[in-house]
Amino acid sequence: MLLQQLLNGVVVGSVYAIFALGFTLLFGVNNILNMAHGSVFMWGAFAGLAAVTYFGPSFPLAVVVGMLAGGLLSVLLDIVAFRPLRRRKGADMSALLSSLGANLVLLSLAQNLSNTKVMRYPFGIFPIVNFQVFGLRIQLLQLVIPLICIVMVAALVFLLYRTGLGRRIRSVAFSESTSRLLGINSEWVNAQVFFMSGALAGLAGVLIGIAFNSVHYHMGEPFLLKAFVVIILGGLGSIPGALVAGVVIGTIETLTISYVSSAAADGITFAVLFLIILIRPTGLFGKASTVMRVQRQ
Amino acid sequence: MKIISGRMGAAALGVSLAFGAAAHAADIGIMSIQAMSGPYAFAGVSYANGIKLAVEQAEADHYLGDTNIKLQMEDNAGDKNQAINLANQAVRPDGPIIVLGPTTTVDTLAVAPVFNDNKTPLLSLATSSLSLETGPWIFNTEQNAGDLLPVLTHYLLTKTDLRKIAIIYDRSSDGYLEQRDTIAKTVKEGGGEIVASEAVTGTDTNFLPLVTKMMGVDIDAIYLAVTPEQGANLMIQFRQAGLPDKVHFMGGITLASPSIMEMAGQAAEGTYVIADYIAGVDRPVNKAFEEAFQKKFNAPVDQFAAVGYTMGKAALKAIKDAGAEPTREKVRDALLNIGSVPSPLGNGSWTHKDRHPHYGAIVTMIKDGKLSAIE
Repeated sequence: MLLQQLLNGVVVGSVYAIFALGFTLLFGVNNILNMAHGSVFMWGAFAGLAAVTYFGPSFPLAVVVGMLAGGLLSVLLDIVAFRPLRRRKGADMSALLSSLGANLVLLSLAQNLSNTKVMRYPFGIFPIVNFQVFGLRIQLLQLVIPLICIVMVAALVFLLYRTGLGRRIRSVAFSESTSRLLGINSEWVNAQVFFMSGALAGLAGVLIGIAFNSVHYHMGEPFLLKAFVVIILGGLGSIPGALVAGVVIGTIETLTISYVSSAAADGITFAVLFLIILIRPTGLFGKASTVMRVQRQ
Repeated sequence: MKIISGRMGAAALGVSLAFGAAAHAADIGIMSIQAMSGPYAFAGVSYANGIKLAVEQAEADHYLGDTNIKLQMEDNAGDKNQAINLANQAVRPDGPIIVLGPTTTVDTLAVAPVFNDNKTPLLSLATSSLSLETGPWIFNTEQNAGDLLPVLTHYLLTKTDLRKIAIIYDRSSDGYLEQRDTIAKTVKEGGGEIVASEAVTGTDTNFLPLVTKMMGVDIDAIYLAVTPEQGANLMIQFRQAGLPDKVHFMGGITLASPSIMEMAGQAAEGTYVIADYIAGVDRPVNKAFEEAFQKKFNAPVDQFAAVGYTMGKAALKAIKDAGAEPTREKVRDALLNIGSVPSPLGNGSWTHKDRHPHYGAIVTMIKDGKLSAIE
């Protein structure tokens, strides 16, 4: 059972990591704790579900539509809730409050649209294929989710450190005003960062919706809380940190449910967070990943 | 806040303005406090719709003569602090004559002292008898786990081979905790065995660790003390993990919801459910209720709507029985002596003894995608 539970932990941890990647990217570049990230995640899942309901069950379609919807919604959020504050040089707290307000609006819209009902992706959207390996029962989706997570992390790291867009993003993260002096269109760069952050949230929403058979307007809230744990544990703004911390949190949670008590899972997860922060206040990758971090100075 | 008043609208407003206080003298206020948003909205919205329907029918039928019914619909979003704020508003002298709700047991236990201390009758939706201990102004509308679950366990332990029972319960609700305790007690007393008891919270969706853990236990049936949506999700995740069909799911009234069948599909087949309402019962009160509900809301009827409708009917009967000039005290006294109220629930007649409701129960099984009575 231990190996099976470790596999479960890696799967759920991978989804935490994908969700947290967008969250930490936005924090790293724009210094925003986007409290509406959970709602973008939820709207991504809604959009994927709407697409497969309309066009028929297709996993790639759900993923593409979910990512697009998440990305576009995130850009819209930037235009409506964050860009005006940046232009007026609002305090960091104002962006946090603005995102809280945006979150309530998005939640309310989703609640009305869904009539509070819990929905699910249609049966057959992803083939139920089980493999038996060394006594482990592995579903195909349990292999695909960690794989997608690894691809996303690798793509993001490549984009940030091996492309022109990445250089511009890091430049804006370092100093928006200096970047503008260098001829970089910082608002366009910010829009691209918001799009990537939202697309990752949308992807996580679709994966969670399919893996755990549940799409509802409140689905983002518990993940947002977990994302906080993940990005603090991994080191604020650290991309590899989000991956490792996501898997660590997922595994701790899973093993706690299995070997201690399901009622104690959240308590133990947060206790581990406190413990790690006491020992390493900057998180697991806080110092080691300075080079990798995309952080505003 | 939303105020609904049948037969009012613009014309009534004009009359009201013209005749001032005289027109308002015939208004009777009923307040509904429901979780119409938030995690318990799946039930709160249905309860509210049931109440709305009962009041609108009463208005259309001039059930209270010339008296206007002002139905005030409030949403506490499943939050007990909001419920307490609304309760404090409701108990003002110019407030409603009776209050219906709130949706959850947790919220009811929080607001019950406010209503009792201020002598305002509360027809609650608590599924725990703890609410009644607050005082004589609190009435329960729904039977609790202690009324329903012994019927289910007695059936299973005497009519089937199911003996080893596991329980999965939502630890964030007193009502589900009471279900857990009652099922554990009645199974043990009936000669069965509780082989596992695991908690979830209302917002959980990832049950893989729990499923993996329980797949290693020898189980005949799994009792699900959770919301219908979580129940459906658990069923799917268990079946996808390879739980054999010979292991049955079982549940209380919260699983007697059409959404279980809709969401869980094949995974829900064979589930034993103790229900206080099933759709399609051949009884005039049920037929009339179901037709009217579907016509008004264009949505399938569920047991929450049936309970809300019954609650509305009981409140209206109490107001009528309270006489020409009802007060909160007269309505409370009328509720105490209400006799029976025709209802789509259970055996078709809602009544209470010492503020604790009685209307029977039906043992059902999910077969071919719908609840079928088996006893």
